[in-house]
Amino acid sequence: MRQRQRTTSLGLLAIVVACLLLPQSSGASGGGTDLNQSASKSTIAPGEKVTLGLGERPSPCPVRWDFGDGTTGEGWPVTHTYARPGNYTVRAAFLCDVQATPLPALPATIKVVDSKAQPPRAVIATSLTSVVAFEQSVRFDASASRDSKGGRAISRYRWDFGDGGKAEGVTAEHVYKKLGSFKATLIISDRDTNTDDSTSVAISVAAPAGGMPTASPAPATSVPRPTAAVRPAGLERAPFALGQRGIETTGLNAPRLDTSFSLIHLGVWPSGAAIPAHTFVLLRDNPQHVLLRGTVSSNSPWLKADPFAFDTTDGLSFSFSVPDSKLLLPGQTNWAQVSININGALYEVAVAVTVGGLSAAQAATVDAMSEQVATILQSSQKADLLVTNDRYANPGQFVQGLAAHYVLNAGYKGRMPATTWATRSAELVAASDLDRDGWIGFTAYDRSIGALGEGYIAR
Amino acid sequence: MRKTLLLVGLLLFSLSVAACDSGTPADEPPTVVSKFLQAQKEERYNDAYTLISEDSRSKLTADAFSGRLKQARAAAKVKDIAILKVSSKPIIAGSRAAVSYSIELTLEDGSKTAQNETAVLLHQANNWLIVWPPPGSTGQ
Repeated sequence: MRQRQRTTSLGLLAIVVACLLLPQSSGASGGGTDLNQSASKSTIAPGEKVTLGLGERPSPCPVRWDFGDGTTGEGWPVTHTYARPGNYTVRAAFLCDVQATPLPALPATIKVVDSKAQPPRAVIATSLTSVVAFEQSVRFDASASRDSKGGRAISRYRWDFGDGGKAEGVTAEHVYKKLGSFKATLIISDRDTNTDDSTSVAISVAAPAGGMPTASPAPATSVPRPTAAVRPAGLERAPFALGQRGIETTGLNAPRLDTSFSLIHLGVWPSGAAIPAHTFVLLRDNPQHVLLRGTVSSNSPWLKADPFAFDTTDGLSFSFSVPDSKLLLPGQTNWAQVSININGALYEVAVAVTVGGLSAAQAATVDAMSEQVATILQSSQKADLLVTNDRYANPGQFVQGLAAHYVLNAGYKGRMPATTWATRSAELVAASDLDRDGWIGFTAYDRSIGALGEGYIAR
Repeated sequence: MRKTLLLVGLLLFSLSVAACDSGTPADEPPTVVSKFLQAQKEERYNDAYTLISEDSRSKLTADAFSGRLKQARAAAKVKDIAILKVSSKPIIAGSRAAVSYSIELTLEDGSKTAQNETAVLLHQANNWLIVWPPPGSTGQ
């Protein structure tokens, strides 16, 4: 009798221990069952079924589910559908009779995505150009951004100005207190689809025309004093002049660099012509053998600056060249911005080259073709991308260049209808598959018949 | 009689103040671009300078701007500029606008070449002003 009681007691104890241990023993790390492993899918569409509780039941106890969308269910397994896109956290509780306490499990995350919805689109408009003056306030505006339905249901606008500064809101003001190049990034969050989109603009912070404020008295030196030199605080003063003395340019189209901004025009050239290298010398001499360190960079693929970096105590010269004139767009003036950093001082040089070849009648055709692209973009509610977008600083002029290339190349023009050209060009500007053929922009075949402009598979 | 004259005087004064306050309406982007091109054609660079954006002006003085454009025109050997068309349909996105235009350059050797370009403008201090130098079309 005693033996039977002891056996019964041990049996009950075993059940209690099993109920306490089973849900934990079969689960993943972290002390509970990982419900992600029990889900049939982690990403579904609205209205699509997902099954939770697949695989070995971790406990003999009843299971209660909280699907994260305000509804609950019971069972193992259990199916559920979500009506709206979003990220849902699914929790389960195992209700053991003996313990009468829910045992927690690691929650599952179910992502509900509406694949038919367009992704949201972040757009930045700034109050200034990409080059701003030191300590000048810059206003950033994200009001042209659109949600997945083309509206303004955006739950969050986050700004990262690239210099450590951050802000939130549709618009933001920022003052850059460092010289150099920065990438200002906007991230928007779509309220309905719970997806993000981001875009960036490049900001170069240059010294004002009158030069930087001087933090300390100039050191005694026989080198001419800078008149418009840039001296960022904390960096050693650049002991050379960028004023009326000490700077001279030579070579073709030799302008003087006498402020922190200059302009070099490389002339007017026929379309397709090889453009000879143009050299200018920035420092006539460096008699004090001052150590000069810095970089030269061009923002355009068609203009090469050489050397890219320097570290010298001799005189300093730069060569600007156009290694491949095919990278220039015909029928317009191509502009590049060159930033020269010498001992922390930033100088900006705009370099222009005009590519000719169009008659007045051809220019009228180019104009009409460009308007056709604008019409296509307007019908897709994307006309604002012709003003500025992530890929092209001046997309309107980019399209004009593509049109001029089309007009000037009879073979290409004869093989591609103007309507196809317009759709392909509009797709490049919008970075969108407007004709839904699975491809954005120009195809490899298009390029083989002479098309200018890239193309890529639509996501 | 004196009272009537006083009232008429006050009325005229109020009207003149109101007229001064309203100012002249700001030019639309195509008008600004037309004025800028015309000023360049006629080498009135100081007038062109007043039409460029505030940050463009902060980078160089009117004299420096004038000097750069004269130099560029000489380097490009441009003898004359004919304005063929300025689009009357600007595309506006927030505080930015784009206006396309076409011009024809006559070079010193007598040859002519036409160009299609797009001016980018910013809305600053209640005016549309031109970004100069223009953003490159093949890069950021």
